[in-house]
Formats: sequence, structure tokens, C-alpha cells
Amino acid sequence: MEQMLMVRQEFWGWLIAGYLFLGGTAGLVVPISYYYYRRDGNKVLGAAGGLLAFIAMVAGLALLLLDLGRPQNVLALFTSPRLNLTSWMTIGTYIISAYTIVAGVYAAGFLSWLRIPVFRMMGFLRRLIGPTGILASVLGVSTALYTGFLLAAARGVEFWNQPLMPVLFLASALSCGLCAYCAIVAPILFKVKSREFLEAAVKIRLELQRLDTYTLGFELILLFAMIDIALGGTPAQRESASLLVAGDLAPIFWVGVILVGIIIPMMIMFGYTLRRHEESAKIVLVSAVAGWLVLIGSLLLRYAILSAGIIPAPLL
Amino acid sequence: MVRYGFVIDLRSCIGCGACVAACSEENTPQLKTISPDAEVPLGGRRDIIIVEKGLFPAIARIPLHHTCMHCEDAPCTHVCPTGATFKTEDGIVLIDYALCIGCKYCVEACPYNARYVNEALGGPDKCTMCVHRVRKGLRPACETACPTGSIIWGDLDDPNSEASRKAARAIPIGAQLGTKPKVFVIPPA
Repeated sequence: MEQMLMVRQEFWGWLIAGYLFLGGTAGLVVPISYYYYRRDGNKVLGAAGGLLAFIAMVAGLALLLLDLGRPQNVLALFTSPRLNLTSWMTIGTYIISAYTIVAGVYAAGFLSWLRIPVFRMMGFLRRLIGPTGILASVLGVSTALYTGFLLAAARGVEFWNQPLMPVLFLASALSCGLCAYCAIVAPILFKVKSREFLEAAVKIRLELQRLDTYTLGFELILLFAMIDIALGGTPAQRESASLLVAGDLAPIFWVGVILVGIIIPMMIMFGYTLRRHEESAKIVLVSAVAGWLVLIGSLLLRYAILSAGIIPAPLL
Repeated sequence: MVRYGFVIDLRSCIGCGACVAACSEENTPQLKTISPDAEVPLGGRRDIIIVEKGLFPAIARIPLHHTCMHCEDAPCTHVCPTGATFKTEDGIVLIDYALCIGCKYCVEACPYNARYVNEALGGPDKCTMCVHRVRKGLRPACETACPTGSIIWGDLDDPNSEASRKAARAIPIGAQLGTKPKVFVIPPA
């Protein structure tokens, strides 16, 4: 006789979803910006990427701290005599701490080019752009990946124990990182920059959006593969997947994650923005809308996966 | 080596919930989670879930026990970042609140869902096997309160203890998970 008590996890909610989302997005922003700096010498994108990653990481860390039930002990993550270096929580703490600092130094190197006295004093940091760019890229990808491993290693929740979980989180982080440019950076730069910037902007936007459509398509396949595997998996995995496709998370999943977060942005990009080989206020706005939809969908994706977590406790 | 564990004899358990009440009284009086029925939300260190077995009219109501297994290979100890969750030499899984940051990773990692978040502590809470009583030579409150003697606590490594003798004929709860749980049940007839 097998008896189980299916308990839905309720302790990781919006705060952790927000943190996983910000960590993933921030994680891929620096690698993208560093790529453009190396290839085109694009300092604007370098500065924007570094700054965006730093701000997002600080916000993510704030959410993480808010979620801690005993924040007074947070330093134990560094000073505990019994520190557990094989826990993803510990490994993640070190990765995100290092990434936040290195991304900050990377951003500061670019800011020193601004004609603002405080930043000009940081000119010596320019020489660090190369090493910090490489290091931050490695740490950033690690940040995005670890958010998946963190869930995959939580043994109680069988739905999260899927090998595809880190892959999905990395794919989602990449699409967020690509979209962060169109959603946040491009509208600001469009307001302030010259014709010279606009010419580069078209090329970059088209490259980012083209890659983003592939990424979103891949994410869609991954997501359905994971749901399909779960529907044929253990009883708890079946119940988690059912919550997403037909349970109380179905509105968030179908409308928020699939439609708003993947299908509509793909339609906007394929149908409109990818066909426009010039830059105007309207195109920047439409691209920004598509970007924000992807970002919102990715936040909802993380919340839906967390909320669908079920622990099947054996009673006999 | 001393290795403490429980044997629960479901042949004589009547599902009265005295163990749950005694546990709550002893350890978490602020929670008031006396829930002998599955309909009552969970939220304490120990619970009784009554399940029905068989087809009408041959139905049996079986009280099942939901608590920490004090696994020898405990998933909670593997994920705890600061080592706040640890296992004593005599096999009791405990939380050191001087180190716990309240990240709740252990709650998500326990396949028995034996942990919950105690708002008063801001962190996870679980069965301590009444370690404060055990260290004084007393026995856990749940065992003491059981009117039918269905909860047997003791040293599983001592061949003469009642617990180890009964454990030999009992099955570990959820043994298929491979965490080497130390709570055994003797199934109802």
C-alpha cells in the first residue's frame, strides 16, 4: 500500500521568482554588452550593460534578503564554521556576490568616459574593462545557470528535479538579456543620441531581435518538452504539470507565459520590427513593448514554476 | 553507537491525535495545530492524516503519521548553506538557529515535507525528537502521550531495545526515497 500526501510548496513565491528573474536577466546582459564592445568598440552598450546588470543584481539581492526569514544571520553564509560548500545556495551566494561586484567595476570603467568629474576620476578602471568583461561574462552565465540548478537540486519538489530546468532558465535568461536592450537601453539612447548612434542602433537591434526570436522558439520547445515529460512522470510531476496546463496556474501559464511572454513578442518581431531596417520613434517604441512583454512573461514563468511545486510526502 | 528512531505500530494506533497535541504542547504551544483530520491545514512538527482504505462497505480508516524521519542520509543537511541543519552523533537531525538564515531551501528539499516555516522563528522548524527531554533521560512527548503504546522510541542499534526489536519487523516510511529514514511502521493487518 502506497500512501502519499501531496503538499503544494508555498514558501518560495513572488520574491524568489523576482530574484530568479532579475538574476537571469542581469546574468546575460554583460556577456551581450561585452560582445558588442569587443566587436564594434561600442562603449555605449558596454556602459549600459554593466550598469543595468549591476542595478538588477542589487535589486535581486534585495529581494533575496527580504525573503530570508532570519536575515540577522545572513553573514553566516560567509562565516559559518560548518559552511556547506556543496549546497547550491552557498555556491550561488558566492557567484552572485562576485558577479555584482565585477559587473559594477566593469560598468565603472565605461562611465569614466563620461564628462562628469566623479566618473572621470575612475579612469584607471578603463584598463580593467577587458578582464572584468571576461570574468563578468563567465559569472553572469553562471548566475543564470545556477538559478536553474538551485531548483533542480531541491529534492522534495519532483517537478523541479528535471535536467532541463537549468537549460530552460539559461534560455529564458538569454531572451531576457537580449530584450533588456530594446526594452530599456534603446528608448533612453534614442532620446539622447545622435544620427551616428542610430545607424549602429539599427544593426544591433536587428541582430538582438533575430537571435531573440530563435531563443524564444527554443524556450517554447523546452517548456513543452518539460511539461510533456512531467505529464508522463511521477504522480507529483503529473500534478504539477496539470496545475500549469489546466489548474489554477493555467491563466498565468497560457496567457502570461506563452501568449504574452513568447507568442505575441515573436509575432511583433517577425511581423514588424525585424522588417524595419531603419530606426524611428515608432519602431523603438514597438520594440520596447515586445521587449517588456518578454520580460513580464519571464517573471511569470518563474513564478508559475515555483508555484506549481508539489512535495509528495510518503506516509507509509 | 546510539541511533535513535521511532517505530509506529499502526495495528494499535487509534488516530486520537494525543501525540500531536502532546508535541504541540511540549514544543510549539504558539502554533495550536492539533489536527487529527487531514482537512485541517498542516503546520506543525507532527500530524496524523487519516486515509480510507478499501471499498464500501469494507472500509478501514487508517491513521498515518507525518513527521521527520531523521534520515541518515538527510537531504535537508545536504542543501543547508550554512550547516545550520546538522545531525547529532546519535542520529537526531536538528537546526542550529544561530546559523540559520531562513532561506527555506531545506523545506523545499525534504521529500517527506517534514519541515514547515515557524513564523515565530522566521525559519524552518521540525521534529527534534524532543532532544531537550532525551538529554535529561526522558522520552519524547509523543511516545509518552500515546494511550495505546503505538509509538515506540528508542535506540535502533541496541538489540535489546523494544524499538529495535519492533523495527526488525517494520518497514521504513518511504524507503524507496533512499534517504535511510529512521521512522518505521508496522502496517495495519
